Amino acid sequence: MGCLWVILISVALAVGAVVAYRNGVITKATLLNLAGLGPAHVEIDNFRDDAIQVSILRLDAAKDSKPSPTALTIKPFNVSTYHAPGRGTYRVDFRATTAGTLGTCTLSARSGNRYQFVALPNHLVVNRVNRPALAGSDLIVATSRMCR
Amino acid sequence: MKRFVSFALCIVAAMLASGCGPTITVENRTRFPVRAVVSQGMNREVVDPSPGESSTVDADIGPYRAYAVPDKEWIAYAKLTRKVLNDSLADADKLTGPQLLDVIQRLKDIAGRVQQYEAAAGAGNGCSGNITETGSEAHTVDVNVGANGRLVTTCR
Repeated sequence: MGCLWVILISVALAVGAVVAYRNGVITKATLLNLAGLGPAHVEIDNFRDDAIQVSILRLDAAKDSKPSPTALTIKPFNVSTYHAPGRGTYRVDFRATTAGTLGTCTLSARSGNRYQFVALPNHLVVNRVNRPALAGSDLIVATSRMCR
Repeated sequence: MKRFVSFALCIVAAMLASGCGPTITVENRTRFPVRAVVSQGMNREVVDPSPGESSTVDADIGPYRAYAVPDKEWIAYAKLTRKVLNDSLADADKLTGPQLLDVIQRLKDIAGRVQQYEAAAGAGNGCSGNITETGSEAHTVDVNVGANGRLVTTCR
């Protein structure tokens, strides 16, 4: 009788998981994150009056591969998201159409983490959404410990 | 025959180079600027197709939602937020605990604002679609003006 309950609960869990997966409640990313293999999410908010160009390059790729940078152009007041394919070190360069180089962040991204960059007229802000900074200097790319 | 093979290889290479994944194209069918939010899980894109034009965003397999607001509404919100952030971060080193929390909350509010639009899309004020592995890779979101003068989005 005890064995029957175990089977019934297992079947119910399996059916529930399939339904959740099909409805998008559980995604492939959720499962990968549980295994520590999921992507990290990098959101870039351009709150400047000019467009910005963002270049994202993985620095610790396998030796035999030659990664090419991902280039994003984000118009004023637009938002874009980049999925860092997995845990690793990424160099994120920011340039503005009128102001030139805005800053560079060498980011150690972890699976499932969410990073937010906000380009402002006077500052380039970085924030780890699921574990925010404890000091103001860590919110500015030029001084943040997250970007070293 | 060799030419055909070379041509086919070029096409395949071009498709790989351009990262032929699924995309969502937002078409602004109104006569004024709009700001459209396309969200898919953690992935959020805010784009501004000009009147009569379209903007395309990369997408993944799975459900997505779309919502549009008049451009001036989003710009007003964004400009207010950036003023507060710019002022608060003028002396980032000297932020007190409550000031730091306020800045972090402002940063979170940007995502929160987009989530509000997501919720509105789910409540019938926007639209939602689903990108499947077997279906078409090109999805379109039309932004129009409804009979009541409000923006209407249609996912197809």
